Order: sequence, then structure tokens, then C-alpha cells
Amino acid sequence: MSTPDDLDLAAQQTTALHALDAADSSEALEAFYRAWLSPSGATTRLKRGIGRLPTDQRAAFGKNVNALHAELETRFQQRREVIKTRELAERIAAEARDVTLPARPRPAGAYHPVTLVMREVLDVFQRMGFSVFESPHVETDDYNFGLLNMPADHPARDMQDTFYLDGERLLRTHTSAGQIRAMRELGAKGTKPVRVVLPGLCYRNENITTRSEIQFHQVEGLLVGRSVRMSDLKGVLLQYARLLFGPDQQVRLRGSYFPFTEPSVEVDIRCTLCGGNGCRVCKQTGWLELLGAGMVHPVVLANGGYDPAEWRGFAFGMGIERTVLQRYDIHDIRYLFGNDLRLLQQFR
Amino acid sequence: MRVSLSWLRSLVPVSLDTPALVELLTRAGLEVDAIHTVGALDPLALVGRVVSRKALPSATHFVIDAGPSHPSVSVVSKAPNAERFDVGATVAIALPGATIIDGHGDDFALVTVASAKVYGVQSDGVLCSERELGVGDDHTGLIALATEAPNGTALSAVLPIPDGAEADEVLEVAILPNFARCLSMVGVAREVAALTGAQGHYDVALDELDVVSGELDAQVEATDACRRFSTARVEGVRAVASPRWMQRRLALAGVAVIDHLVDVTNYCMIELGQPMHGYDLARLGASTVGVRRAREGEAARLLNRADGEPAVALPAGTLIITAGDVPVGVAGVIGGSDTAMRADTTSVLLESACFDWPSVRRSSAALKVHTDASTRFARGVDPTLSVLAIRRAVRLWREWSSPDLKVTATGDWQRAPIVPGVVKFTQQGIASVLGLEATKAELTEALARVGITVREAAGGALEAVVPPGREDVTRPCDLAEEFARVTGFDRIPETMPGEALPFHTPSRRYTLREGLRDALVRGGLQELLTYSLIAPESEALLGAEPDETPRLKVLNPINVNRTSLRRTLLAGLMETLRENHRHTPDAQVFEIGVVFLPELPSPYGRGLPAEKLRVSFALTGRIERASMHGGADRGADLFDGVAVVEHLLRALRLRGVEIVAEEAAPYQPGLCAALRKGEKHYGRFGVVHPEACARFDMEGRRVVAGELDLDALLDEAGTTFKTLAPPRFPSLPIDVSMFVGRAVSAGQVVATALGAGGALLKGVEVIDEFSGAQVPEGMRSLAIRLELNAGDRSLTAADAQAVRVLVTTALTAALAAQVRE
Repeated sequence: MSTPDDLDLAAQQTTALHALDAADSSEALEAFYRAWLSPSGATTRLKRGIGRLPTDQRAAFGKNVNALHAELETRFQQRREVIKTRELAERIAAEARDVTLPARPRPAGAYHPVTLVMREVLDVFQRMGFSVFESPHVETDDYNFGLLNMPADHPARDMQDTFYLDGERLLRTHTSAGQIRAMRELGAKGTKPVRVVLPGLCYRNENITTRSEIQFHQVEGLLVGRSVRMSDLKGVLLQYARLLFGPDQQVRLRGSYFPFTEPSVEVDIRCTLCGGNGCRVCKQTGWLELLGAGMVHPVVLANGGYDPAEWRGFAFGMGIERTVLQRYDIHDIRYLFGNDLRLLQQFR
Repeated sequence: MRVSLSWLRSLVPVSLDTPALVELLTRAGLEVDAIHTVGALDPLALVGRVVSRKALPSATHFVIDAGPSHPSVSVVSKAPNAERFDVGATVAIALPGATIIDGHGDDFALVTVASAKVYGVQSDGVLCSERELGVGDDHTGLIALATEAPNGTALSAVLPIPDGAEADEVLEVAILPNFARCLSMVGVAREVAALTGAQGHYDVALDELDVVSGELDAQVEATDACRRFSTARVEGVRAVASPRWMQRRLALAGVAVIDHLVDVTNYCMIELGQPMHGYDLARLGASTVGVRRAREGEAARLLNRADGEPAVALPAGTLIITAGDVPVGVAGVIGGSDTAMRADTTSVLLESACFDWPSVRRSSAALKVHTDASTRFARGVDPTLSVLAIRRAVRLWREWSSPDLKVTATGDWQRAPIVPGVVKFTQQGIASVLGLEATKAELTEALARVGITVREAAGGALEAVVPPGREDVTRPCDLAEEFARVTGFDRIPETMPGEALPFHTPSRRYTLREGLRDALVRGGLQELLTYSLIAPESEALLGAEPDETPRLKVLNPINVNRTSLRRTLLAGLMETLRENHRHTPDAQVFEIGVVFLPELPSPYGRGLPAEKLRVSFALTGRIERASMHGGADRGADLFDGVAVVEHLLRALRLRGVEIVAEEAAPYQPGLCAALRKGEKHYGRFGVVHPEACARFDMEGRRVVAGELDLDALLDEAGTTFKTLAPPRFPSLPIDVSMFVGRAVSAGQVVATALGAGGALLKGVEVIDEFSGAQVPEGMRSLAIRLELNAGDRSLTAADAQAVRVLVTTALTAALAAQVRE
């Protein structure tokens, strides 16, 4: 850009305004600024040229140069706003992408579905005041059977196929095996109440099929106190069902049999799929089996260190895998410990 | 227990429909697993109409419209009256899967309809006669239906089913161990009566035995295992076919029909619950039988084997039946084949006993023989039944096959008088255990329904008199259960415990373990849960432990892959990668679980193995992936393993644990590290040795893995820590380059620098490593960056120089580093 160095301000103004109009980008504007408005620009040089003028013209000239500078400054700012706005709009338009293109890869982990359900169950019981109590996988015949009112040759042993390590040691067939340990450890020789849940892996010597596995997770609940009633069992399980499955849940007790509880019941909840109207999952009954439960048998209380004349308790035990299968519509339990990553990675 | 509803109705009036009856039984503890239907009651027996008809050489081919689901069923019928069924005529069709009654011959048999080719034509059903549907006797041709009901209507909705019809429903009832009394029709009928309040008439006509002469002197030696032993000698019997009604009831109960002599003993067992055995007196070689325990080396030929097969060894101590001291059967389980009743039998010794359940259970388990009899004895048989059952059998024989039979002798040995049990209880005790109100009158009425009589005892207490068949009722809690069952568990309200109970107390181990699980998932790893049981051969593929390492093996494994309790989680993870890598080559997995180490003591004592919590991980395939947005594929390497381990240590707030080089299987030498803190060793990680990968069928695949002792890590883990205030002045970085000997680890360099740098030195990071021509022989070049901060002031060049001198001097002195300026 040529910068007139004569002192014809009108001509200077015309030239400058042309140059400003011609500046069509931030870079061009920047160049205009340097040429005209910066400390080394034309208006500064004009001010320095004042000395070449006759004295009587100097004041007016100075005033006019300042006016010219101010006008150019104002116009420059306006022009800059326009160009900044336009350039931002252009940039935004240019940057637009197809949002349906694939994402960048990002690592994602996942919980095993059994963990998800187990956590939910334990979380509800912990909120209801139960503490988590864990006991060993390998148990003695006593803890798994004998002390739970199932002496050798007891008919109830037919209900469970057991993996034995030898005549005395076995893989626990249910988390009930921890009941006696919990009572003895926490009950202070039968003087303190106990409120625990016992989660864990259990084992049964069954054929591996789409519906049965040799290992599965259970959660056992045990509450021992001086005035525990079966109605408390019903109330606690109703509360559990409502916290886990919704505020309208109902529970139903059915007669059953476990050697370590008396009375023994199966506890059903309203079918979570059909809401109780009857469907394939609940075999048209409107009810789903939730768990087995009952009042702790006096023999078991006594084995746990409590005087059954003074203390009572209730216990319940539920499987986790069945809920996992129902909830996630998995049709083959073998996926759970077979660990097919194509299934497990769906939980990411 | 298969319960025929028509048989049940003959014992107790049932006004409920089948679904309501099923519900009632299920809620009282008799869960109905399945409902089997027969004949016209089968839901697959439908109304249909002829769409087309074509004569075949000796049959007729129909196309039947059996409703919207089956609009065009091809059926071939050989019925003589088939040609009378024109297009539009109404027929009864049983579709494949339906159970109908065999129409041929006099014997009762069930047939399951199946698709077949008949004379080369597809036939997908049966057009039925009255008899096949179980609604009448006629089997001369297809039943003519006078109904306007639409096609596909269930026959049961339109066809009158007369009293005594053979069409039936059979409930398959699961009998829990304390419901042994319901392993009989009378037992189930009593239960139905108790639950509905109906009046049963199950006192099946029982004649007194008119014994012609003599008493049988049973030789009961094993008095510890036998409670009652009743016998009768019956002469003048004939083995003919049983009446059709009896065949039918046995068939529906799932019992094979043989001949009247055998059928009656089975019938009495199903009806009353008393197993019986009849010996052919001519083959018995003795006038009576006895009970004793088998001696070493004894054997018997048993009825479950074909004739001519060798005798089965009887384990010493097995409770056996003997004739003249020769074993002729296993007590309560199965009879011997040499002395069994046959077609030519005319004189029978009937044995009807009450054996104690432990003996029968042991025999049954030892011989692996489970029979209808052993099922009942294994759960306990009512000791009052034995003589009743003999009378019932004699009467049934006399009524059909053997009108002239004579009972020539009987015997009835009892260990002790059979008396009712007495249970003391209080009304308040029952009510408070259930949490409801119950008056004495309500209790008395409810218990009376299950045969338990309540009477006043001294001091205001109550006594329940329990019949001998109910030996499951011995305590007040048993009475509470009976009361709740009979009156309905619905009556129990929902309450919350009304006393102070311990609050939830978090367990440190549980909280930390679950926190670690969260951290690993957050870190991008997939959680696995593998089997606790594994094959030692699979663990041996790791090559990490010698073969003779003690292992816990199960005595009765389910298959060869699940024989021993695992000593490591790694084998399970490697197996998982092996099963997945062909379809899922990129995997980053972990498991938290226990391993079983029998050589270490367990805190539980009593010979139990130590159960150690471990965390294990394995990475394979790409850990970074190229995409259309750029980036490059990168396979997992050692330093991804280091990243997992450091992530894990951070999550557990563990300080001062060092990663040090170690060499151990299954890792590749030079790419293996251990975690240590002083003397403590927390496990190892590294790149799995290529040969170990190959042994797991993953040749050429790189797996980075590790397994750490989580119990030990959790012991050291912190739940909280102290933060440092963010510095108010900027940090100053100083880079130091050096050559160090190859034996010197980066970890040593960092530790030496940190130890020497003084208070201003806040951190040391390795920023570069290389080897090459410029590096002196036997050395490598390392560059570290020192982070300096004074906290309360800006740093000066003099500060930096001072720290640099301290660090370089120490590196030179301690590690023989050659620091490059």
C-alpha cells in the first residue's frame, strides 16, 4: 500500500478509507492498522510532518490529523467487528462434521453381570441394616450340614449334590454354611443379636446344562434377636422387594421345607415381567420365586450358641444367577462362567 | 409323586378346579411341578372338521381343519367308520404331543401322539374313538361329536366326561423331605381334606385277616434298623392280569403293570404309602424271612438285573432280608430275583415292614439302586401302616384274581410299642413365633385337621398329641408350621423387627475389595468370574508350580476339566483368552477371586485349606486402535501391565510398593517384575512366556498378565491419605542425561536421585532411554527430569545448580553413572 506523505489530509483520508474498505480479512485489517494507525503508521508520520507547515496552520492541521486518526480508529474498529463476526461464522461453517461418523476408540471396562446383581442385592440389605459376613468356600461337613440340623443320612441331604474333598471336607453347597460361624463370631456366646447377609460362591455336583451350573452365588440373610417373628421376616423381605423391584411389590409365603428353619417357607414376589397378570416367565401364576426362608430351627440356634428358649431368628437364602438370567434375558447359564467375551462386553 | 385327580376325587371330594387345587397344594408346600393330561382332557385334543377325504387301500386320508393354529392337518385313519365322515363332518383330533389311551386290547396303556408316515402319507395326529379319549368303552370307530363349537375348541369344553371316565389329569407333585406322608394317594387326600375342610373317605375297606392257622416267627436280628416287621403267608393266589381300573391307576402313577400279584403290592404302596414285597413261597426255601446285616462277601441276585446275570455283591453291613439265612433281598430297596413272584406263583409270603431311614439310604446309595420303595423308606414310612397294607393286599387279591386264597399264618414284630408323640407348647409361643393372634380354639381346630389333637396339660400348658405317621412334628415350631400351613401363610402380617439390632457395619476387606473392582472396571478392564474348580493339567500349562504341588481334589468331579480347586486365577484367565481370541482378539480382563492353598493354615482351622484372595489380569491384542480419525494400532506390552499395576496400587492408596525385576514362570525372562515392599512380596506380572502361550493354544499371541496377593495388599491398603497444598510458585524442571551400566535399573536411578536431591526436589521422572552406537559398551543412556519447588519462593539458578550437583554426585557415586553435561 502506498502511503501519501504529502499533507493533503483530504486526499489522505480518501486513500485510507479506500484501503480500509479493501481490507477483507483479519490479516488485511492488521496490515491496514500497521500502515495507518500504529505508532509507525501514516497518521503518526503526518503528525511529525507538522513542522514543515507555517506556524499559523499548525494548530488547525494538528487538530485535523487527530480527527482523521480518530475517525480511522472508529471505522477500523467497526470494520474489525464485521470481519471477526464473518470469519467466525465461516470457521464454524467449515468445521461442521457428520456427527453420525464413528467415535474415536476409547477403552471401556465392564462388571460381570453376577457382580451387578450381587451388588444391588447387598446394597439394599446393607441399607436395611444388615452387615456383610463372609465365610470359607471349603467347609466341614458339620458347618454345611450337621450343625444345620442335617445329620449324616438325613433325607434333606438328597436336596443337594455335594462335592466332597474327603469324608469331612466339602465345597459348601449353600451360604447357610456361614450361619453358625456368624452366630458364634458375632453373637458373643448367645448374648447379642445378629443381623447379617452372607454372600458367596456355592457349589453343587450337578450336570452343567442351560439351567444348572456347578457353581453359583447365593446371598443368605440371618437375623437373630429376642423377639423375632415370622411377620418380621415377611416385612423385611417385603421392604427388600420394594426397594429392589418397585414400591408396589407384594410378597407371598408358601409352605416349604428346609432342615435348618421351622416353619419354612418359599417367598414369592409379583412377577416382575407381567406385574402379576400371568406370563411365560411366571408360568401364568403371576408370582416369581424369590427365595427360601424360615424361622431359624431351635437346634441351629443352639449350635450357634443361643438358648432357643430366649432367642429366635429368621434366615433366608437366594440365588443370584436366576435373577441375572431373568433380568438380562440370558437363556443359557453357561455363558456366566464360560465367560464368552461377546456376551460380557455387552455390559460395557 | 404323580397324583391322578380322578383317583384323588375317589378319596376326597374336591370342589376346586384344577388351577385352584394346584395353587392350594403349592401354597401348603406341595409344589406342583407339572400337570399331565390324558385323553379328552389333553389340551391338544381338539374339535376339528373334515376339509377333504381320500380313500387309501386300507385306510382313509383326511385333511382336518383344527382351528386357526392348525387349519390343515393331514391325518391317516384306519377306523372302520372313517368313510362315514364327509367333508364338513366334526371329528375329535389329537395333535402330536397329546396323550391318549391305547384303544386296542383290554390292557390299559397310554400313547403319545406323534407325527408319522402311514402308508406313505404324512399323518400329524390321530382321529379318536371314545375309548382313546377316555370318555367311554367304544373303540369300533371314530367318535361322532354333536357340537357346533368352532374348530380348535378343546374337547374338554364340549365333550361330557362321565364319572369314572379314563380321561384324567395327573399332577406331578414335588414331595419335600418332611412330606413323606404325601408319597401316597391317601396322604395327599388327607392333606387336601385338611386344607379344604372337606370330609375324606380314605378308610379303604380293610378286612380283618381270617388267619387259618399259625403265627409267623420273623427273625429280626437287626433290631437297630427295623422298627416293625409284618408278614403273612397267603396261599391259593393266581397271577392273572389286573383289572383295567387298577392298571390305569398304576400307569398314571408311573408304575409298570406286571400281573395282579405284583400289581397289588405296588397299588397298596401308591395308595397307602407302605412298600411291600411278595416272595414266592415255593422258591423261598423257607417258611418265613428275617432281617439282618449282610456279612462280608455275601451277594444276591436282584430284581433290577436281567435273569441269568450274576449276583451283586452286598457291602458288609447292608440291611438285608434273608430266608433260612440266605440273602433274598435288600431291605426296603429291592427284592431278589430268585424268590420273586412269577406267573406260576400260588403261595406268597408278604413282607410289609418299617425300616429306619438311615439304613435304607445307605443301602440305596451303596448299591446305586433307587426304587419306589427306597424313596419312601428313605424319608420315613408310617409304622402303623404295615398290617393295614397286608390286609388291603389280601382283600384286593381276593376280589379279583384269587377268591379262594387263604391266609395261613401272620407275624407282626415290633421293636417297641407304636405310640403317638406328645409335644408341649403354649398358645402364646405359637402366636409369637408367627407374629399373629391365634386363639386356643383356632389352634385346636387347625391342628385337628392334620390329625393332631390338642389337650390341656398341667399348669395351663397345652399338649399336642401327634399321630405316629407325623414324626416330623416334634417341637412347638413344627406345630407353628402346621398351623400356618393349614390356616394360610397369608394371615401372617408384615411387621418390622421391634427390638434394637446391630446396624450395618462396613467390613474393611469388603469395602476395599469392591473399591478395587470398581477401579479396574473404570480403568477399562472386563471383569471375569471363572470356575473355582479346574484341571491341574491346565494350571500346569503355566509351568509356574511343580507337579507335586499339593492340590485339593474333589472325590466326585463332574468332568475331567473340573477336578481340583484352583491355586491360581491365571489359568482360568488364560483359558478364557484361549476360548475367545479367535473371535475377540483384543481383550483386557481381570478377576478377583480366591485360590486354595492346602499347605498353608486356614484361620478357620479344622483342616480347612487357606483361601487366599487374589487379583489377576491379562491383556492381549490391541490396547490402542487406529480408526478413521487417525491413531495407530498398538499391541499390549509390558508397560501396559505396569500401568494396570500402578493403577491398582493407586486405587488401594498403597505407598512404598516397588516394582522390581524378577524371573519366574509363566513370564518371559527380562519381561517379568515383582511387587515388593521390604520383605513383603505381593506377586508378579509380566509378558507371558511365548511357550506358555503356545501351551494354551495361543502360539504367536502376546499376553501381558499378572497375579497379586490381594489379601496382603488389602492389609497394607489405606482408606485415606493426606493431600499436599498446590504449590504457589512454579516448579522448575531440570533434565539430567547419563550413561549407566545395563545392570542398573531406572528404578534405582530414580530412587537414588530422590534420596539425594534434598528438600527442594519434589519428583523424578524418567523421560528417555536409548541404546546405540554413541553409548559406551555395556551401558545405556537414560534421561531424567527433576522437578524442583521451594514452596514459599521462586527458585534461583543457584538452587537448581545445587540440586543438580547433589543428584549427579550421588548417581556417579552410587551407580557409577556417567553424567552428560
